[in-house]
Amino acid sequence: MSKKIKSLEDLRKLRQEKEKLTSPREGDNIQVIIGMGTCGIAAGARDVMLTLLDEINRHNLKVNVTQTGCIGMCEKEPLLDVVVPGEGRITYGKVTQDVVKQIVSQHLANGQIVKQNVVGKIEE
Amino acid sequence: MKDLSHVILDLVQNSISADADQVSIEVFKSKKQNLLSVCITDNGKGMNEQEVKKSTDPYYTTRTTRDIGLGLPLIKMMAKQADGDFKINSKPQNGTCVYFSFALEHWDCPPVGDLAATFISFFVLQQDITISLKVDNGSESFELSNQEIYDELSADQITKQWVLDWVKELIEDNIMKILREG
Ligand code: FES
Repeated sequence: MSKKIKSLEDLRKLRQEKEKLTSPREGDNIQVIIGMGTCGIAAGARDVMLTLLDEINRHNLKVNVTQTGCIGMCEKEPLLDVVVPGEGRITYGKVTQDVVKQIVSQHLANGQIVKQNVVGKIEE
Repeated sequence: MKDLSHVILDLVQNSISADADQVSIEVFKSKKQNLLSVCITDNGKGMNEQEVKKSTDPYYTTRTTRDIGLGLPLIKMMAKQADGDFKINSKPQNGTCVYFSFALEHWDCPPVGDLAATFISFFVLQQDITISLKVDNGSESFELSNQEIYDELSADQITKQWVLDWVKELIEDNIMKILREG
């Protein structure tokens, strides 16, 4: 039996265990969009995204994470947008791994915008 | 770009901008052959001869937003510097294949980097696309595709920590091991 088949079996077992656990609170999902153009990647967007996922899981939040390509703002990369249903869209710039931790704990979990990194705002 | 895992991330983004829904990444590494190579093949809309030329020309920009990243000219330069090769094969409607290599022993041969992080970002962000990653060291190989993992999960489980940890471990134990031994 190949290693991978064995691993996929492990995953199936793991799933059965985890399904017994409680899932995060439901509701309209917050959306986070990360810029994955060349500049974004060069500026560290990938690892920012991984930290974002860690933090979302740590706070047990339900968030949709998607990506966008280049939007012509190289110098402000990594860029990240947060869309809270009913509250419009906030664009954050120069989002380092530390900044993304703040965004999750302040904005996503508590509704407080991280002002010093906001580069744009679209009202709903 | 710091390492190959970032270069690969950038190139797969190009494939996705070219409307590909299947992308395969192959990394080959062998000390015996003094070779590290990467081949990325997609079924996207492809390019004609002129577009291929432009895509590797660092001075070509028509607007501030770019469909094709700065990636290709940079990679071409990296490969040349490390005694390697660089090739693009593409035809309109027929997808694109980008191949580049380095002499493994060369001073300028870039590190592979964190392939697990790159795969996980596809795994989370590119659920509509089939992305496969294959590594080979001349005596052993391993292949992994995002879709075969989704098959085992419900949609809302994909970004759960236990799933991400499992994928990371699978890559560490197999893909990275093969590359270390190559
Ligand atoms: S690649 Fe830099 S702004 Fe798009």
